[in-house]
Amino acid sequence: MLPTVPAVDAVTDSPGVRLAYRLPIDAASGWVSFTMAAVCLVWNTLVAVFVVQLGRGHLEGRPNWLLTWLMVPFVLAGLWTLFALCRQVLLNLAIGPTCVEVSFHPLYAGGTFRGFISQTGRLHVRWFQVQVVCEEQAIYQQGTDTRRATHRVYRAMAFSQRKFDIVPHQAFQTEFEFTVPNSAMHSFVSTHNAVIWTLVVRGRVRRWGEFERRFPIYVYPLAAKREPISETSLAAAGSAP
Amino acid sequence: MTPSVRLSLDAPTAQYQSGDRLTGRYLIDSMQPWTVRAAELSVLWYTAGAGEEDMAVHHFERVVDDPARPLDLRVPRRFATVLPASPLSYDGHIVKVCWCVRLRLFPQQGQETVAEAAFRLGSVSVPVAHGQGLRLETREPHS
Repeated sequence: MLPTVPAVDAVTDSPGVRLAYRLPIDAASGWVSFTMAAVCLVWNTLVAVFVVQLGRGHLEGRPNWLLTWLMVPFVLAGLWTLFALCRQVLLNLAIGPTCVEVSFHPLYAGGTFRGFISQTGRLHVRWFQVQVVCEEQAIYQQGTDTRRATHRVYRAMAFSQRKFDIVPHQAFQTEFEFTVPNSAMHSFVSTHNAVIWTLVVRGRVRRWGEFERRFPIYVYPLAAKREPISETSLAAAGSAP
Repeated sequence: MTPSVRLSLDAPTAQYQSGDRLTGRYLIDSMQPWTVRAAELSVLWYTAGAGEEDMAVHHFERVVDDPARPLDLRVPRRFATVLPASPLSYDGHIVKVCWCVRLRLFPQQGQETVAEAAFRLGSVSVPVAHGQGLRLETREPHS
């Protein structure tokens, strides 16, 4: 147990198919769709109540034109939330599940590790990348608001490919290597501050635009290293148990 | 008049690694005895930067003035602790992790006195980004 270093159980409990560990996707990705659905539902329910009242007035020959015109921007905003929600759902359906696996976990500064990515869907990919990202997060109070600042301190390309197609029932699969830089800060989480390492899968596909999926990884202090990281240990860890 | 407090680490560079033994001493610089109710020494880390401060104490010791054993801080007192594996000292852009030894003296009369000695644990730094077309950024804070 290392103080302020997040536990790695969430990753090591999930074995991979090609490599040792399958990374769980960042929960924030699911929250985007959930939040959009909630906003869409609440907004359009309220707008619908007003529209029904106004419509009733028009049908009964008592039209309130001022309120009717005032409602137009609210209705348009409601339609936009519906459009954005539908686009998000279709984006999630069109761009199928992304699976990322790593050969070793937790990671250590200075180590080179193998990764594996599998992307399904029916996609004309313009570009597709896997990046190693380190971000600092700070939560602070400003008046009565709680705010979160994020600063990306490191970003390195682990894999990049342009212009290819992904067809149904034949996932795009590839292995890549990535390095955690020497003397890098370990993953750190306290109540209001954090240093977070992530494998970020980004891409741009025809018709749907850009997408991004994040897979948290944990970098441990070298003092907690279980065993020397060598090609031999990586090779041993490379095959699923 | 409050006498000056001397808190020092034995390592002149104040640079330690995980598992190292941190040692030092403290005393008050005074010809006259200075009656202190208690002295508290903490080895702790705290965060600095944009976020609210977080802190945790790794090592704590308290000595109190006792009629049977009067507390005379003109005589140097030593302290020692083994440093943990984490968190390591970090000097980031909006998150910083700082380690220090903090001494608080509670005199019989008057305000408490605090002295600190900072040190670094580990030797991590902000990594340098590389890769073509990559740009680092700060996202606007949001609620």
